[in-house]
Amino acid sequence: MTNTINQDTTMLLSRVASSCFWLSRYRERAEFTARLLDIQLITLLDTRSGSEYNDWIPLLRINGCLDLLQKDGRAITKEAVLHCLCLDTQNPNSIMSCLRNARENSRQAREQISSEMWEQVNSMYHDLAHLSRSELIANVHPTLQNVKNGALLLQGMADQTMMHGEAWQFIRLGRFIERANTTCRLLAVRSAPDHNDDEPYREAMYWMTVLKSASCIEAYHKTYAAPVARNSTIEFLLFNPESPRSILYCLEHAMDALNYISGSAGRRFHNEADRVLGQMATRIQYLRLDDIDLIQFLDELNACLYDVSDLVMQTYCSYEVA
Amino acid sequence: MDVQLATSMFTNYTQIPCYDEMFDIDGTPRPHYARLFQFLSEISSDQFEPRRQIADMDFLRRGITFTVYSSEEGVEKIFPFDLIPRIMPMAEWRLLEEGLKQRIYALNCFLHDIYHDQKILRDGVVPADMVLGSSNFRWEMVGIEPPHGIYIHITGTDLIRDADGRYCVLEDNLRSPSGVSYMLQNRTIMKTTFPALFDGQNVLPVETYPQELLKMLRFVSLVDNPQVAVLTPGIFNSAYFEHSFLARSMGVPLVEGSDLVVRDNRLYMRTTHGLKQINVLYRRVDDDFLDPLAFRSDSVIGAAGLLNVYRAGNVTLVNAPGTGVADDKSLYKYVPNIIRYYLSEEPLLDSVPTYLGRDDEDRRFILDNISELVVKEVNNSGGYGMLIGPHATAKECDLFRRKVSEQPWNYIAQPVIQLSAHPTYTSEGFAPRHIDLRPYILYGSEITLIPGGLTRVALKKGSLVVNSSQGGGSKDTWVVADDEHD
Repeated sequence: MTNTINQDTTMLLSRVASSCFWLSRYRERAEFTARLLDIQLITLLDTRSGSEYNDWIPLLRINGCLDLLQKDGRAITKEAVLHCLCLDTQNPNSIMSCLRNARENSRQAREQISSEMWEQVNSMYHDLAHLSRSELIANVHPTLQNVKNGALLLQGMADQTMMHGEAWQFIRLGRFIERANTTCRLLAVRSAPDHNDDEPYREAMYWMTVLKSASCIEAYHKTYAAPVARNSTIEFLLFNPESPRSILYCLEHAMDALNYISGSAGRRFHNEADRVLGQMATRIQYLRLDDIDLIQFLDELNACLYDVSDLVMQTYCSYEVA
Repeated sequence: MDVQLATSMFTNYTQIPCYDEMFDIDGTPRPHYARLFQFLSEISSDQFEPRRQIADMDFLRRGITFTVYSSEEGVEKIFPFDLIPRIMPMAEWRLLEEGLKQRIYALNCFLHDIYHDQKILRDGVVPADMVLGSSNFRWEMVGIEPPHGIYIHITGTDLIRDADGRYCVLEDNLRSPSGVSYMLQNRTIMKTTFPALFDGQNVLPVETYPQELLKMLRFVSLVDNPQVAVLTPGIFNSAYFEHSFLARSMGVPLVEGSDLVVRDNRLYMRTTHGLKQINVLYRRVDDDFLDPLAFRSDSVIGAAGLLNVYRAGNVTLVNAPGTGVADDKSLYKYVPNIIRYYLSEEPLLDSVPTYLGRDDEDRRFILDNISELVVKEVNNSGGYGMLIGPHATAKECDLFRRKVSEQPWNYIAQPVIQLSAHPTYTSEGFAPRHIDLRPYILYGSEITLIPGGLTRVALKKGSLVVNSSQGGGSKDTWVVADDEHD
């Protein structure tokens, strides 16, 4: 006897689609935050400014928790920053908050994601939830390393243990939208006009840190075979077609996922989410760094990514039922 | 092989006055436990304890937990798991199987009868006021014919063994019984933590339960190739793990109330590409919360209009609404007569003698002997709202005497049954602890049982209450083929 294949294996509950999208965004955010912090801690050993405040401000801006830390009137010390970025559940972008949200969304999407994925995200959550502030400070690098590797393992599990159907495409979409978003924030803060260093070696160190934070310094070296400099770093992070960390790459792959979901095959947009993202992805394909006012462009990009995220939710998850 | 008694964790094992599952009255291991006893006698607590911790971590990692909301960040706990399996020989299991099939079949006949012709009430076999006056009798179900006439698709009957080792039914659990995922997960975790225990044992597999469940759910549909879904109250429900586990193992969507939409007397779920019809709903939501238009209007975990969809024959609900009337604690007393009435057969399984508060003679008996009896509320479960006379203070007995006098219909009493005991790992080595048994019975094209079940164990010394809410744990339950023990 052969079984009839369930015609609706592609059928995906709206609520579960949303959870797949968000679990993936939080996974990516946890990975990014861990790497950002890890790199900054190492960089600071060479380039301390003499003011802890100045050392940490850019990081807090990128993470979006500067106001939270300052609101409490706490001194900005290394310990306070570590706690805020890693364990503080008041900070919605702390690694702990990201893992908790990734786990809650995974729980909602339990019928779609594989057991391997669930056990991985669950273990990561419990590992960090049982960590005290003092344990964290004593073992910062191994802890951050575990988060990065654990998050990458989770991603690999999604790619290798799930059906590559619609739920997986929502996971893929979430990953690339989130990565474009964090890279955009990284660039916006790091290329802010107030940054200016006369010492050439410090300037090189600075942009090397940016590349390391985006996990692509080796890819950069391979591409340019030239010393690290501001413009080529920005160009690489925005336009490189082959680096999975560049914004161009992220948008193209996000577009591909959206096309799969809407069934549009990329020929013509089917809905607003397709249209808004497609317009930006196409535009960035044909841009050069000289064509744009960087800060203004990053603002537009940021706004576009927020809109796309909202539009995806409206189109597939929170639509009105007639 | 010499049993190293000096280090054996059985050294301080002292039998308690009840049926011991592993040892006969002389302390000799029963034949079907001989191999397990041999293995466990040679193991020290230094070898055992790390395995117990690994098993606990495994439950936590798999997220088989429930949450205690005492602090801001809810504390997640696992249900305690005891690594010593409970073993049943095949012959014993066959008797249970036949007895349960008979009982479930008769209870289903009873439900069909009381929602249609009510012959059994007119014949006076069961008091009409007890059935029709029950808060679990659903008037909305009168005259509705469920597909294939099946009401109780899934049952988890609680059984205990008395001092002579006789199996008795304690509760029928005809409404969304839970725990089946523990039957399966306990086995999985046993296999990875203690594979050596399985050597030379012919343990029958339980893994196919979800397939059997899916087969049944597809059978009870009114359409070909039906869309099946599992309805859960949501991630905060203590059985959420089980709901998602079953949905995943069957490959069907796990829906919540917010996913459901009723249009034109049909049930739909919201998908990324619009509404999709559901034909069979395995609901793990109580009757009361199923449909705010029909039952409790404050429910947000059901679907408004669902009962109308059911009445129109456009969805199969599993179990059918209204089955609770057949498993309340006062009706329990009548089940043997229900079996005789519909099947003209003698019940194969024993029941526990039961005294009804609503019956004058029984009530006098309860009031006079309360300190010797277990008194239970008719409509309560989970070990709540009960009195165990011999363990209770005079004040507690007085309180229940007053309760029984004021609301006699709401109470029943039974003699204290010393549940059978099973060696269980404790801080003082292996010690006897009381257990019960919950097998799971499916009613589709036929009535089937998976060989196994959930064995619950009262971890507190001397306790007779096995419920997880009252400090109970569980054990893996093995049905072993006989030929291994010739």
